[in-house]
Amino acid sequence: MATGKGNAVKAVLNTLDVRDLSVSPGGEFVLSIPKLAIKSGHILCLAGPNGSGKTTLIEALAGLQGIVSGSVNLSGKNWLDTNLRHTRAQLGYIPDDERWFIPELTAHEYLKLMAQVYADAKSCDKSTIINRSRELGQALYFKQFDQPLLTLSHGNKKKVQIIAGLMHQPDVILVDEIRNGLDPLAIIAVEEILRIEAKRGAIIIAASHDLWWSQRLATDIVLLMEGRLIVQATTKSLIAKHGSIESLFLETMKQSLGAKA
Amino acid sequence: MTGGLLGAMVFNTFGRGSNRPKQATVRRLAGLAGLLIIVALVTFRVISSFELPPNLPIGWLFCLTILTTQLIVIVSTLLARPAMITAKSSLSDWLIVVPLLAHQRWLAWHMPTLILVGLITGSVIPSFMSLAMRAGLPIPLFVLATSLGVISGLGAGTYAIAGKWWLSLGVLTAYTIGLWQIFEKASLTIGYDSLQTQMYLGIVLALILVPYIWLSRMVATIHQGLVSRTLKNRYQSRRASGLPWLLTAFFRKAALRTTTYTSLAIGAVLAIAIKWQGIPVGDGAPLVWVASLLVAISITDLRGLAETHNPPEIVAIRGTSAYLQQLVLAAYLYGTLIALPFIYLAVTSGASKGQFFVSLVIHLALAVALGTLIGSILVPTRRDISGQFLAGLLCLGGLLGLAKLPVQISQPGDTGSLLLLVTFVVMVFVIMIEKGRNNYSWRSN
Repeated sequence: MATGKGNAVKAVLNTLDVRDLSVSPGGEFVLSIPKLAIKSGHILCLAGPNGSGKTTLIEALAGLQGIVSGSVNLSGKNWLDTNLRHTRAQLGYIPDDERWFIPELTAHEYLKLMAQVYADAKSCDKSTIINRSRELGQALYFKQFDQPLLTLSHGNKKKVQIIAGLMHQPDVILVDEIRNGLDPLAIIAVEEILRIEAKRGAIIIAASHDLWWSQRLATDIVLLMEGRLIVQATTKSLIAKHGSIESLFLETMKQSLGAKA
Repeated sequence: MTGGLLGAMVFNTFGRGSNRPKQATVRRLAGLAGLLIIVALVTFRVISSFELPPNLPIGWLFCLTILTTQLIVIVSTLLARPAMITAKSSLSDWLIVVPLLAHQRWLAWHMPTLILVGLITGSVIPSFMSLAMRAGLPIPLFVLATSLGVISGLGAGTYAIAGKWWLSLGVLTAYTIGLWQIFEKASLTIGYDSLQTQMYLGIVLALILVPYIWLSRMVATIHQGLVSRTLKNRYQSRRASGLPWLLTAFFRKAALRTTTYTSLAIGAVLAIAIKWQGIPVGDGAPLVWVASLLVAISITDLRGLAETHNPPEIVAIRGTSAYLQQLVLAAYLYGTLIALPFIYLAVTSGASKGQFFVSLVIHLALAVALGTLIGSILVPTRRDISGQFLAGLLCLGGLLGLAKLPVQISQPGDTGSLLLLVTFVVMVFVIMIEKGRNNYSWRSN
């Protein structure tokens, strides 16, 4: 499987530091994260029931949600300042939204545009990024580079988003339900790619409802409920204590429902 | 990179819905250009036969050119809007995440609008240019006035104020008339003979006008910072006991801030113009009507916002009547804020200031209730231009209707106005119940 391992650029050792983060996407829901630090090379999986704030947290870290209070820093720099181009070029964002690109372009044109944007922002060579996009395409079994994005299937659109999100070898990778729409082969490939990215030194934060996938992939788990951080620990310690992430999830849900009743 | 990005944005807007977006973009833009050439020829023909009165003051021509250009640009931005709104939400998010410089992001987002505005404006401006030349406006002043019109029109069209087209137009008109007064006064003092003086005055105007465009954005940004410091945690309801809390919560929304700044700007321009020119206001009847209309329209916006925006503090409210109490209180506080320039006029004006003030207070009280009622019926939301327009018309109709009622609403001591006010509030309550507002986030137990 060609995943760009050979061309991998080692990520700078970083820590994404979230402090007293409060996000209000609308309505009465408020996401509150008092403290969360994710180190370089770690894969953090966000788990929680529907509406617990997983996507809100991912979007907030991507700069798409208005922050009510608190801060997010990447090695001391304000991560949420969307005008810090060089810092923001370290972000790889793969949302759970199939409209997340310019559908009127072909996959090749879109990836070329993204390569140019990242090359400008990171002051690096565009051809390196394009080569990397080809490697990722190969790894994900994606071939329809010359097809307009709007005519691609849901899964293939997702593959383009993954390629666009990872082609510039970002230091922080945010993914939301990355498995949605992908075929089993691509799911295995994505898992492998994320592991390689983590080994390279990237910080990976993934939101997923698939707890077994999270358990397999993550080094750390965060369990959210109604916008609050309920559990934050390493996957190993949680498995040792609860048997599996699924057990932890069910126990916590029962406790929460019991408390409400 | 910018070229590729801008091209992508253009294809995204004009090629939408086609399986061959690039060809569709070229075809659609060429069709539009053809249509606009016909418009340009017709406009030129019509305007060629039109003559302005001779010996118009240059200041007048200058301001007329600014206003006309603003109008053309705002109307073209309005025409471009439907093309921009569809399916753009994820694209705006995309532009935030992609590492771009601020100006690249701005340009990418507005590029399609700028193309449309450029095409439409370009098709009619030459006709107006010929008219202004014939009327005696020097070319440098025409260029300056057109540039100012384009910049301010675009500013109004593309920034926060854009949500309220009719207000944008109103405030720009009022603002330009205010500037015209400055220009006229300065020109009368200095004289029209020197082109250099005129240019100097034009630049002074530019220095005043252009910052105005960015003002609402700037204030909004500052406000955002203030909110960030005050809104600390999930359980904001603890703070909900303070009297103006609901209004404070609504002020977190840019839409309401924009309405406020615009309404205050209109009131302030009027107040300044009246004070400056020393215009006698008498019993203030026309001003009372303007103030009432402005307040009623602003309140419909506040009411509309109340339907769509649930601040976190709302969890502390128990039931519809409790919410209505808070809403009415917020509406009256907000109405007072909007009417401040008029209240100032009423307090400081000449002989009939007592009558002016009383009439103003009674009308404002009714206007707030009327605005709340109309806002409850219609619920105008942001970007709902037709809804806002209709709400404005209903307010106007409602205020005119009040004047026709047998009750003497401007007389102190008359119970008719109080009765009307209570009736409006009760109607709002009934509408809220009928609309099943229990879906709101306040607790019903």
